[in-house]
Amino acid sequence: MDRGSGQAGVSLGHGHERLRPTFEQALANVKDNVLRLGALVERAVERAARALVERDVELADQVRWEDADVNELQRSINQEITSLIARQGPVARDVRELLALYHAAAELERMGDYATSIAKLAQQLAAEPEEPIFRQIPEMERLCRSQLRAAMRALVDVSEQQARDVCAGDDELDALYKSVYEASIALMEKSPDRARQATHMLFAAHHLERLGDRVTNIGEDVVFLVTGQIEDLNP
Amino acid sequence: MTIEAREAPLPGLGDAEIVFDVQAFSAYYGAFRALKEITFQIREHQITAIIGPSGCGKSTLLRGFNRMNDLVQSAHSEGHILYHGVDLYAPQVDPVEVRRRIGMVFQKPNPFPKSIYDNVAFGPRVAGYKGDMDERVEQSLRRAAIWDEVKDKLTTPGTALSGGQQQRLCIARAIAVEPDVILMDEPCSALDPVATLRIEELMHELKQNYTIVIVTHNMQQAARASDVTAFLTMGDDRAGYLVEMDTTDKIFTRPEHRLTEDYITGRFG
Amino acid sequence: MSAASSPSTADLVALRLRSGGFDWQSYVLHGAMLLAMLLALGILLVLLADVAVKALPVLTQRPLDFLTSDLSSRPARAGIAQGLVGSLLLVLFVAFLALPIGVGAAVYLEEYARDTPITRFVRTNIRNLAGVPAIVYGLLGLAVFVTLLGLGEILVVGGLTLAILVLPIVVITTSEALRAVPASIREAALGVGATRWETVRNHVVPYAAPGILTGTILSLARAFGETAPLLMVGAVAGTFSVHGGLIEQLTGPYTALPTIVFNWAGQPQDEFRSLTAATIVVLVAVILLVNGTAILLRNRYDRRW
Repeated sequence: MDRGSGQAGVSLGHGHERLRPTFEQALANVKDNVLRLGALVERAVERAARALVERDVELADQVRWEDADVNELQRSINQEITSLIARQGPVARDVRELLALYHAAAELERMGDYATSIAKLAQQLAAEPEEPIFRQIPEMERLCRSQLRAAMRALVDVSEQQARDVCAGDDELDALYKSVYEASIALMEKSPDRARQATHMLFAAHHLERLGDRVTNIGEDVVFLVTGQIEDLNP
Repeated sequence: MTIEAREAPLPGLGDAEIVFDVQAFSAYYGAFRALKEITFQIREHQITAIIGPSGCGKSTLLRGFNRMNDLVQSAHSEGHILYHGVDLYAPQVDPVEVRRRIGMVFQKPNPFPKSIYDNVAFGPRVAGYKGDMDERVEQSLRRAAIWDEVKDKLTTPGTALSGGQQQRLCIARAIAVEPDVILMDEPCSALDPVATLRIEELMHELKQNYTIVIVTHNMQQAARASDVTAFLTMGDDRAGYLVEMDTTDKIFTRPEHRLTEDYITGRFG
Repeated sequence: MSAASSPSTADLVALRLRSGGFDWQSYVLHGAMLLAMLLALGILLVLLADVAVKALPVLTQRPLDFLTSDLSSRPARAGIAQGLVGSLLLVLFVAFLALPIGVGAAVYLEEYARDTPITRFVRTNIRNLAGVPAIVYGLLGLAVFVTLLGLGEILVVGGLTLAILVLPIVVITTSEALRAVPASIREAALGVGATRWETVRNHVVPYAAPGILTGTILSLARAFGETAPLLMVGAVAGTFSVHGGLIEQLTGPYTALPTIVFNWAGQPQDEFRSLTAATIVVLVAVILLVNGTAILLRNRYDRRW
């Protein structure tokens, strides 16, 4: 009967007793790794775009090599999360956080793949005779990275508002992509011999645009983490 | 273009008939208030889990549903528990009749030290059942998913069974009086994991015919086995109160209340 | 282990585990307690042996005759027939009187009575009554039954007095047996809609029965062996018939084995020493038999919850 234990129970009204420090530590560790993954991806995007603009084949090669690190880190994050779910029985916010981190890591890994693709395009473009075109591309790259940083910050702060702002910021990227698209069509019409270059540049812009979409997915993950609701914030 | 995900209807709450309507129910042991103005509803054919820290009055609340607290001399209550609209604490209500309709399964399996058959037949006997007792016993044991294990040894003492079997025998004993509700007071706390899962599966089958209210310390069990979860905690005066009640799905994925979240995730705040 | 290097864990563990010295305190204590036990046992054995040796002549020369003969002032013909019959009737009387009342009182106190200051007072007093010297019950019997009610010094009065003597014991042992039935059993029965009476009748009392039986048998053995109260309420060692009808027996003068022992022990003739010893042997044998039965019953029906 509860009568006896009623006298001895722990009061929940005040004070703060941390009952699961081990689990909390493990959760913080996973989060750290996701942030590290974000930093790796950001660096890869920056270098891939620079390789593209500066026609640096070496740099592009490095980006392609380093994608293996991204994949490796994502795999280890997956393993940690799987193990935590299996062994710690997380519920409510804990399970949402783990699922959000799991998904964010998957998105980051895909972003890494886009960076690699851009690096490949950089190598192909380096073989073309003409100087690179489209000023929008470095701009897109800067915007992409600032979006990614903002998304990571939203994840760290667990801020729904910051996450929503990130998702809203994607429109600018879409607009830039649209202008690259128009410009490359125009270029192809004007000088068909540069169609190859224009197509490569268009693809690079497309990858950056997709990259931005992935960033908004991370924003959606943060919103899910906070509210428990799955929303489409990049319609 | 989005395709609507076809959502399975969430079990729990909804508009099923209300079995228990608890209205500002407070329970006391002497001067000590164990429960403070609990108000919520329990609906038909649902498994309602009551969770909360030790001493928050879960068991007291559960025992309020079949007036088991009457057995404790110093216990008294305020407020109402309506059972299909009838106040269980109205003066002319007979607690013996209440317990015939609202059966109970206890924390520790407590079969009578009598034959398996007599364990099950006792309830119907005292209720004056005149029909075919063999049939009633068999049917109850079948419903409790233990018939196959005991059909050849109905005359052996119930106490000779394993813990998990004893608890299912106790469930059969409770079913035998054909109650409407089965109250379970931490029914698996003395059982091993396999026996526990068996009882949980059984509860799932039983809810077709009964309304089940279960008190459990095991949050995973509440998450696995119940449709609706009520979270109780206690204030600085140690009186238990209801923090939140919702579908189990909601409670365990996105509880509304911070206290609920802290409790189920294992962080007291 | 070299002096320079720090000791390994294994060395430390070995050192710690082997360092227990000779624990002389526990040996001394052990010895003292053994001695105390042997002393008590020894005294008892010497007493029994002494009695047995003294009883030997009577028990070997005329065992049956001794048991079936009437009391007599002539040692050669004296027997304990009246004592046996008297003791038997007394015990039966006690059994039929004290057991229902005692068990009923215990069931009421344990299963029905609310925990109020009055019931607590009653409980405490029942415990105290169990410790009151038997002679006080004798005086009570004399004052109430013999003098106040004017029943005279008859077997019924002896039975009533002994019944009152053992009543607290019956209540206490029954209470304990009832309390040993776990609350979960009561909850189980009440939980399927049994009334309190159905719960008590079908479950609590049957499950407590072995304990109740053991306790009451032991209390009967106590009644069988009591001397003092019977002396007060008129058990005599005179000569009277044991061959009348039951009513005649109950309402006539009576005697019991302990009374005979007391009486014969005061006789001047040496032959009575042996007769007294033989009676004691019979008395002790009966009591051992009764207690043995109680222990057997308890072991047989002992229940683990």
